[in-house]
This record gives sequence, structure tokens and C-alpha cells, in this order.
Amino acid sequence: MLEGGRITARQLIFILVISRLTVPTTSLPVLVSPPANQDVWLAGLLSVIPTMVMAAPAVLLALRFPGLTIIQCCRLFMGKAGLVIGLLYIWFFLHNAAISLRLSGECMTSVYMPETPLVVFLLGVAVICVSAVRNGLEVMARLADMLCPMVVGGIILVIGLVLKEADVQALQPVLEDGLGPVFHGAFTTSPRLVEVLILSMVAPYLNDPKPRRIIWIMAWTLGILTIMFVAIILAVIMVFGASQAQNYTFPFLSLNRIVSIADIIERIDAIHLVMWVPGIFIKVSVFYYLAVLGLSQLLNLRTYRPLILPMGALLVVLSVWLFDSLVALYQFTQYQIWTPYALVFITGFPLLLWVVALVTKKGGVRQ
Amino acid sequence: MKNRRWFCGLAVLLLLAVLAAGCWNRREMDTLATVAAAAIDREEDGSVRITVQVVKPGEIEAPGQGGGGSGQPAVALFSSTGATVFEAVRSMARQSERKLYWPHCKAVVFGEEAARAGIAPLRDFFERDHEPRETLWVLVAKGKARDIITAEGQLEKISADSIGNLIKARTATSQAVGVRLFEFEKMLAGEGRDPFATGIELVTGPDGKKRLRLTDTAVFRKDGLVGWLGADETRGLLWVLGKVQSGIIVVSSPGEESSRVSLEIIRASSKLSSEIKDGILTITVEVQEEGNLGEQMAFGDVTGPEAWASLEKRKAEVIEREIRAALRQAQEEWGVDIFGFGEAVRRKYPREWREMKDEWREIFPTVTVEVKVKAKLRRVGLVQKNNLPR
Repeated sequence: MLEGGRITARQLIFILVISRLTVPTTSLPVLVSPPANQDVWLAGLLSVIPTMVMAAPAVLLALRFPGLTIIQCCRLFMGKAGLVIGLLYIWFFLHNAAISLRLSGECMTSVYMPETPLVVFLLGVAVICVSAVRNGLEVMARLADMLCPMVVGGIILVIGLVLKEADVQALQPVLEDGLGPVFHGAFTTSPRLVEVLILSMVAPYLNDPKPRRIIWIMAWTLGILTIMFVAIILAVIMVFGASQAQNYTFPFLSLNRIVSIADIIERIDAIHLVMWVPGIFIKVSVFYYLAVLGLSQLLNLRTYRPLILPMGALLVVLSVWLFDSLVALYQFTQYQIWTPYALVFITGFPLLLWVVALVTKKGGVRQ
Repeated sequence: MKNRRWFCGLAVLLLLAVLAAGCWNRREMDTLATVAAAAIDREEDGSVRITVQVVKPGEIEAPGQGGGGSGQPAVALFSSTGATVFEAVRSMARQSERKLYWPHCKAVVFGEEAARAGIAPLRDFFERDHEPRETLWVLVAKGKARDIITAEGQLEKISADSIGNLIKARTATSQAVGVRLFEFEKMLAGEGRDPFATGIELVTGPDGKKRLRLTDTAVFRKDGLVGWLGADETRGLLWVLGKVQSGIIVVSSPGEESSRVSLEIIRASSKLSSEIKDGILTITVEVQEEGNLGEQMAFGDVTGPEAWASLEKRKAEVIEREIRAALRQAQEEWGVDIFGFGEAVRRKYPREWREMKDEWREIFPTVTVEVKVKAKLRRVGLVQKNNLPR
């Protein structure tokens, strides 16, 4: 066994939630995806349906092969093509980790310490991630247990504190451009849930990997995420108005910065750091871990430990090298590029694997 | 093995102690020049002049110590010019002795001329840079902004605190506005709304010294100052926006027209709605106000049902008059939609708005506005009537 640890369903939910919430608490790219006006919260709300559809193949695959990760599935019945798909997945995991790592560094240099070289932050986070990955899945899961209430609680607290600045009228007119753009937006937003791939890699290590359990995990994750997501969008739009909200580089951070209650509770930017730095850390280390785990499964290694440091070095280099600037990073994470790219991995390959498994009658003998 | 673990742990702890205590951007209090307020003017050659008020920590004594400080002013003033705001800010480093530190900047005052030329280019720095807060107050000076910043506060050692206090006290009269940077930004970026900001000026006090005073409201078309709303008109604007919190309404006493009665505003709210009928746009402003009898310079009893109702009616008339005055100036003189009527139209008629929005500046002055005021009078205070001296 490559991974000896076992995690509980709750821990997995927490990992998925934390990992996903790092995006809306920094760049919140949904604000500029269609319909790009005060209706984006509707798109966020509706995106739960396409997300379920798009995540379905990965979940179905996990249900059909309860003891196997998606990489192991590739190897099991795809032959040489499986090797290629597996390698692509490892790239995707690493890419994801690198983007998140970079985003964390960019946010730190933009807002908190502009004169500090980017690499310092990248290395700082990466070193802790190396340690986390060395310690294995269980440690990360326990960390998520500890951090998730902090992250979710922090978001709720901040939204509560800015409520007095909120203006419900900023949400009107509802459905200004009709339903079309809202559905479009719901669609383009949904592939951001790359976290479903965490599920398909980690499901075999659940202490109770029953199919019912996996569906239950997905349902809870989607439920919590949708509520938090919509709440953040609503708060940002109601406080800043749709046009100005789009203009902020880090809308949720700006929300933190305007909190001022009775001249006492103000300048609470630290809350943003407290909930966001651990989030980024979990996200980077989990995807980094998936890359390491995936590669060792693909190569049939007995242990993944030798891969940790080289992969970590690659991660830091990638995150520096991938983008020239924050502008380039944002261009990439806009829906035009990110959506189709992520869709290939979230839905495309799992669907292919699942269909092949169906046709060749592999797996799923009994459940 | 055990020794090695101990050693590693110790090394990590030591490393943390070194790293966690500071980093590149470590800055100690005594290396910073904390900016309390900034003023921005345009020079004749188009360059930007920035004047900042920097707190001198040594001159602010702790309360209760009395006699501390050296009687010196608690603020230092610096001024510099540049082609852009940021350049001017940075070139301050050549004279400010310490690096300017912006997070505690309370207010930015724009000079009248700079504001007329447009403040959008001037305020971007305060939005984009991470040090100034989104919550700083936006003000426009009558005259040069630097004169405002260089004036001394009377009760506060730092006049930026005076400005902040004045803006907070605006609710006592509701005859001045308070606009924070992110609110200004919201008005600027939103469709169908023009921004406004607090006006500030210098007046001469009884001792001949200069004082700060909040004055008329600066009204913008897009980002350029077009004029000033007077005190009553400012309250008219605030009635429409539902932002009146308190204030005094003076009416003449029923039955004794030459004498005055003060009515205190306790709370108020408003509702803005739009209606397009047969291609004609009507905006309806409904204001609900509640207040108390605050003072009676007339004699006799106004607490009788008839006089009471008459007071309420007079009050409603005053409110409507204030609103009408603001509307007239905004619609007829300047054609600027500071009330957000365009936004109200967009909220209800998004489709029609799309055709209207490019011509909104031409349409706005012609819009019919209905004003409905419901004013209530609740309490009389500790005495019933003002005794006529016999």
C-alpha cells in the first residue's frame, strides 16, 4: 500500500471545502464571467446543477472501482493510453498546485508585503507543503479538521460585519439580460470544482468507502460550497455594486478592509489572512500530494517518498515560471481558458474511462 | 535518534524565532511618517501638488498627564509636486525624513480646481495602492486643498481628526454628507448615478483664527466638479437618499406666524420608485419622517390636535421644499443625477434603460419627479407649552 492512512468522510468534505474556498476569497473570478452584472450570484447558485452533471463521471468511476484511484483505473484497463492519461493527470494536479501557490504569493506581495520577493512566499509555503506531504494524507486530513471551521467561520464573520454597508437594491434588476447568460455563467463557473478529482484520488483511503458514503460526501461538499460561494458573491455585490466589485483584484479582501464598526472593530485584514493562508496551504499540499501519489501509482512504486522533493522543486519552479504577472495569471483563470481546460480532466477523461469500463465490462461486479 | 529529533526541533524553533519576527517589510513605528490626511491640488502647469499632514507621535501626550508635549504642533506638514500622484507622493521622501505610511490616512481633500478638472485620475492611487484604506473620507475644498490641511484643529491636536469628527457629527444637522472612498467609487462606477462629496472650507473664528467647517456638498458630473449644493439642498439630497438621521426643521408657529418652532428629526427613510407610462418616465420619492417638538420660540399651546396636525403639515412642506430645491439645482442647473434616478429606472425597467442610458444626461433634467412626504410629530419634550411671561 502506498498510502497507509485512512481518513473519515467529514475530513474529506473539509478538505474539499477549504480547497475550493481559497478561490472565492481571493480572486472571485465568477464576477466577470457571464452575465457579468448583479446576476452572477444566480449563476453561482445554479452552477450546482452543471457541477453535479460534470462531476458525475468521476463519481461514477469511483463508485465502480471502490478501491482504486483514477490513476490506477487508467493503468488497469487503458494500457498505453492509460499511461498517457495518467501522466496528464499528474501534470494537471501539479499545475493546479502551482497556480494556487502562485496566487497565494501574488496576493501576499500585492497586499501585504510588496517589497518581498515572490519566491520567498512560494518557498515558505512549499516547504510546509513538503512536510505535510511527507507526513501523508492523514495529517493533512486532521489539519483540515482543525482549519475548516476557522475558514468557514471567518467568512461568515466578515460577511456579518459588513452587512450594515450592504444595499439590497444593488442586486436589482434581477435577470437583467434574461436567463441565457445566467445559464452560461452557471456552466462556465462549474468546472472550477476541480476538487472532485481529489475525491476520485482519495476515495479509496476513506475509512468507510461505501458508495452511499461517497455520494453523501459530494452532496455535503456541494451544499456547503454553494452556500458560501453565493454568500460571498452577494456580500461583495451588495457592498460595492456590481461594476466596482468587478474592478477589485481581491474583492473579498476589500470587503475585509472596509469593516468598521463603532471605530473599534476595524482593520481586520488579518482575519482574511487567518482563513486564507491555511486554505491555500491545504489546497497546495493536497494537489501536490495527489501528483506525488499519482506518479508513484503510475510507476508502480512501493513508496512515494522519493518523489516528494523533486516534485516539490518542480512545483516551485512551475509556479514562478508559468506566469509573468498577476495579469497573466488572471487571464489564464478566466473562464475562456480555464473552463475547457479543466473540463477535459474533470469530466472528459473520467467519462472516457467509465465508458470504456462499461464496454469492456471491467469493475463494478458487485457493490 | 532521539537526540537528532531534539536537535531538529530546536533548529526549527530557532529558525522560526528569526523568521517570524520580521521580514523584508519590517517597519518600526519610529521609522514611519504616519500620514493623517492628504490634500491634492493641481498646479498651473498641470502637475499634481500633494500636501500631507504627518503625525508627530512625540507631541501627542497621553490623556491625563497634562502639560506633556512641548506645545509644538502635533503634526508636520510636507508638500511636493509631481506629474502623477504617486510620483509626488514618492518625491516626498526627499524631505519627509521618514517614509510616508498611509494606512491611517483619514481623509483626502481635493482642491476645487483639481476637482473641476476631474478627480478620477487623482484618486486611482488611493484605490490601487495597498496602504490607503478604502474607508478614507473624500472631501473637496472650497479653494485650495492645502489650506485645509495646513489649518489647525481647535480641539484636536491633529486636524485630520477634526475633519473626521466633523464628518461624523454631520448627522446632527444632516446638512453635510460623508462619503468614503469606496462609496465614492460605487457612485462613480455605477450606471445612472453621479457622485458627490463633502465640501470643506475655512472660516474665521471669533478669535480671528482659521477654523475648519463642513460646507456645501460638492456635486460632480462624471468625475468633474460642477457645483455646490447648499445646506438645505444637501438635506434635500439626503432626504431622497434616505440618509437623513437627525437635524432641526424650523417652521413658523401655527397661529403666530412670525414666531418659530424647531422640530427635531428623529428618524427618516425614503423610497425611490420609477414608472414608465405611455413612454413618459415619472420618478416618485416617498419620504417618511418622524420627529419631536424640540423648541418653541412662540407662545401658546401647540399641543392641541389642530395645531399639532398643522405643525406636521408645515414640516412636510419644509421637507418637500428642501427636496425640490435640490432637484431643481441638479436637474435644471447642472443636469447631474446625484440621486440615482437612473439606477432606479434600471432596477425596474432594465430593457428601457438600455435605450435610455446613453441619452440619460439629456433625459434626466426633463424627468417629472413626484415627492410624497409623510411627516409625523411624536413627542413634546419635558414641558407642554411655552409660558407667556405675564
